[in-house]
This record gives sequence, C-alpha cells and structure tokens, in this order.
Amino acid sequence: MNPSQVTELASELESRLNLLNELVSELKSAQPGMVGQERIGEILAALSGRPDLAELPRVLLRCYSEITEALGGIRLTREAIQAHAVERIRDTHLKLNEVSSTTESATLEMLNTLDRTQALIGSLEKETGASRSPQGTFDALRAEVNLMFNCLQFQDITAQQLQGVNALLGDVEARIESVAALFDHALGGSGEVSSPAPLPKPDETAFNPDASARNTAARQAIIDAAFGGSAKPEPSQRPSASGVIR
Amino acid sequence: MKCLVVDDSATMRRIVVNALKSIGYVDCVEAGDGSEALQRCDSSIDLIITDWNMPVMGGLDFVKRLRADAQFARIPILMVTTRSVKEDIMQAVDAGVNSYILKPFTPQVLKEKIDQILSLASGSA
Repeated sequence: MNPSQVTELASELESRLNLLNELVSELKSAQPGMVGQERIGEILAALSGRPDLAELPRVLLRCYSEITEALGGIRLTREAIQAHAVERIRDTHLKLNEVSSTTESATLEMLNTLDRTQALIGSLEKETGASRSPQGTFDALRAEVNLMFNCLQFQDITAQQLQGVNALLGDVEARIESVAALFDHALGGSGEVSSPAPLPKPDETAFNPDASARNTAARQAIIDAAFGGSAKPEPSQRPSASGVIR
Repeated sequence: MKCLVVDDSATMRRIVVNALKSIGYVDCVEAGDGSEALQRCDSSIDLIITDWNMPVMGGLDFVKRLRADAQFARIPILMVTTRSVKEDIMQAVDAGVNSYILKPFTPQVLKEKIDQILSLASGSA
C-alpha cells in the first residue's frame, strides 16, 4: 500500500467516524420526549443508509496490517544500519588498531636492529683500530644509524593520527547508534534490537589527533620565536594571537 | 648529567635516549607517563624531557606538579611534543616549561635547546 492509498483509507475512516459522532451527538442532545419513533427511524435510516460503516472493522484490520508491515520495514532498516554501518566501523577500528600495533612492533624491531648495528660499529672500531681505519668512517656510520633512529619517529606521529581516526570512528558509531535508537522507539519494547557494547572511549588526552610531520622546521621556528629563541619567554614575548601554528 | 625521559611511546623514549647519547648525555632514566615520572624524579635528575599527550598523567600536569614542589622547581624541562597550537605553547610556558621541541626533531635541534636551557639555568643559579 502506497502513502496515497493510506491517506485515502485514513480519510475514509475519518469521515465514517465523523458521521457516527454526529449521529451520537444528535441522540444525546435530543430531549427525551422529542425523540419520537419518527426521529429514531430517521437516524436508523441514516445509519442503514451507510452500509459501508459495517466495513470499519475490516478497514481497521487493514490499518493494523499496514502498520505491522511498516514496523517490519523499520526493523530491517535498523538492522541494516547496524550491520552495514556500526559493524563496518568496528571492523575498521580493529584494523586501524592492528596497523598501529604492527607498525609499533616493526619499529621496535628496527630500533633493536639499529642498537645492534651501533654495537657492531663500536666493536669494529675497537678491532680495526684508528690507525688502519679513519675515525671519520665510523662517525659517518654512526651518523647514518642515528639518522635512521630519527626517521622512526614517524611511528609515534602516525600512531597518534590513527588514534585520532579511531576516536572519530567511535564518535560516528555513537551517533549512528543514536539514530538507530530512534527506530527502536517506533518498534516498541518487544521489537528492540540488541546492540553490541559500545567501543571503549579513548583517553583523548593521550594523543594529539592533529599530530603531523609536515613543515616541522617552519613550525619550530615560530615556536622558537614565541619562546624568544629557546629560553622561557617573558610575558610580553608570548604568542599574542590565537590560532594554530602550521 | 642525568636525564629523565618521559613519553608513553616506547619508540619515542628509545629515540630520545639514543639522540641524547649521540650528543653526550648517556645517563638516562625513562618513564611512561607523568605519574611514573614523579616517582622516578629525585635530586639526581639534571634535565627532564617530556611529552605532552600521555595517559594517566599528561606532560602539562606533570610539569605543574613538579614546579609546585620546591625540590624540583628549578630542574630544566624540555617539552617534546606534536602540539603546535599557540594556546598550547602558552600553557606550556605558564606551567613552567623552559623550551619546546616539535616532533619529529633532529638531534641537532635537541642539542641546541638543551645547551640553551642548561646555560640559562647555570646563569641564573
């Protein structure tokens, strides 16, 4: 049944109820002595003149059936929201956690390798001796290893960015759950759909979602200026304008 | 020279410690958050390098707590963080941070900042 048919059905139902109401009011307001056989006959004639009133129960049953069907649709929609939005958000959340964890493990392993490399450079330096191998070679090797150490800072920055995305996903999930809960009201108590337990709320003080490796030198220069070189600035040297240094 | 390195990221702690060693600071103590750092802080610490965003107790609260204690009020503190919002920098200054480095940093920048804050600290002592 489409919306226009439902509207038509409701209008038909309303007109019949209005007629019934009209007749009952007329009966109530009539003086006892005034309601003669003639008037009653007229009313009965009016009622019998509307044989479609007898269809009222059937119309109501049709309405009930339509409402039940609509509720079924709402239930399916609610379940679809949960299956295709909330559950996919959770999958993504888990995958991001896995990426973060894998990257951290790999980075720590690389740090271990670099530690061992540094130890090997030290051993080689001792074994070879400064006379046969120029000191500069070992220093250059150490500088390369240190450079690799510094490159691994990417892991801390990407981990914070991923935590930021995960927090955002948690927020989106909560909002979708709120929308789904609106459908639950329509379904009534017996029709409620169970939802998975909400994702644990991240400690938003433990990461910076705006972490970035971009333009670090330029941003550092602005911070240095704010600090008056590097020392703790006097109040007059503090940053005056609000906003983000990027 | 003994340094306390505070960061919840084990990766970052190791990178900072390595950078410190590469510029001659070999005696380092590590802590995973501000609360742990408070426990590890004693009179032997000469320099603190701390992150801002950490669970349990963040870097800013840690610095405030430290500065409120007369015993540690003068230890030079260098904040190494990803936060570059001006309001954050002002908060760090107000809390008592002596210098501020953005991640990712280079050992050269680290050395420059450490030298500057230590020379200021020795000058004011």
